[in-house]
Amino acid sequence: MTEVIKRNGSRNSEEFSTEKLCNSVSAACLAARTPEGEARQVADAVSAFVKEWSKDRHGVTSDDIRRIAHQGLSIFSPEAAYEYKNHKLVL
Amino acid sequence: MPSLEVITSLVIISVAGLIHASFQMSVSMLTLLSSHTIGSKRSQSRLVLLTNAFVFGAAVAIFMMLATMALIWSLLITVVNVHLLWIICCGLLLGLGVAVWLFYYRRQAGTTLWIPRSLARFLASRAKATKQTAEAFALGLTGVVAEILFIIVPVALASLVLVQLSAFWQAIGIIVYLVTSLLSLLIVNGLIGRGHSIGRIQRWRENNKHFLQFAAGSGLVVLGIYVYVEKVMTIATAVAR
Repeated sequence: MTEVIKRNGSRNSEEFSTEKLCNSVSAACLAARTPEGEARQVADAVSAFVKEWSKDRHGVTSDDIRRIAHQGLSIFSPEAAYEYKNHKLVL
Repeated sequence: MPSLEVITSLVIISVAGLIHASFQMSVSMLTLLSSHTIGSKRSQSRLVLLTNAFVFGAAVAIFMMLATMALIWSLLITVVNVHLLWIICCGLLLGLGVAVWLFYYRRQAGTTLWIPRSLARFLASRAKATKQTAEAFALGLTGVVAEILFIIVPVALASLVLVQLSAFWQAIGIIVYLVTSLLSLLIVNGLIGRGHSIGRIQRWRENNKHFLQFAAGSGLVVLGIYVYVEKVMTIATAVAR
């Protein structure tokens, strides 16, 4: 089981959830106007990529997950990867 | 046929409106709202309704701000020399122009602005939570109010020009200011409505943010100098003769 340590340690750690990751990656793909079915496929592939990366690690930070997911997403859709990486830097 | 003075006034109003349009907070909020709406699988028609309501909210807020400033100026003009009001406006334009050159965007990736982080987080969370058109309308109003520190100067200048025009040209001037100040929002709204990628719009904004910052700051400085020469120096020279 991989624990996710939250940003700046302000909240308790939680178990790594592929569903949460899938939803955020899928939302980024949709914002890049990727069709819904393709967005889901890409989100599943990116989640599998992150899960593979995290399987030997006991604890990872949420920033690590974002970084690796961004790497994985860049392969499938650079536009969605940009959206995924920068959505907190808009305002 | 409008007189040269009316044309000059309308040019000042439209340049002030364009400077207003180059400020980016409302555009950032519109892209955030669109991004969250598309990401949560709402329909294109719902997205268009929300973004239109947002732009309408921003238009109402700008109109109200313009009317309020015009009321303040029309009261002040009866007790204070109008040249003093022009000089105040010029000082504000030059000061804000330099401040925009130095501070408008934060020195980091993305298009983060020099506003308190708690306010930015609040606005971002409101954009995410917006589902109804009434909420989008209120968000449009809030976006303009949150940007008041930057936009108050072009609004003040445009309203000072407006109060010195006849009623007919005041109405035209208000429309000119509204259309020019909403230009960036209208363009982004049109792009989103046509199905453009939010990431592509945001990437363009990030790549060109320093140019937009420089253009806004320079516009304010140039307008400040022009208004000073046109409204203060020319008349002061004529009086001296």
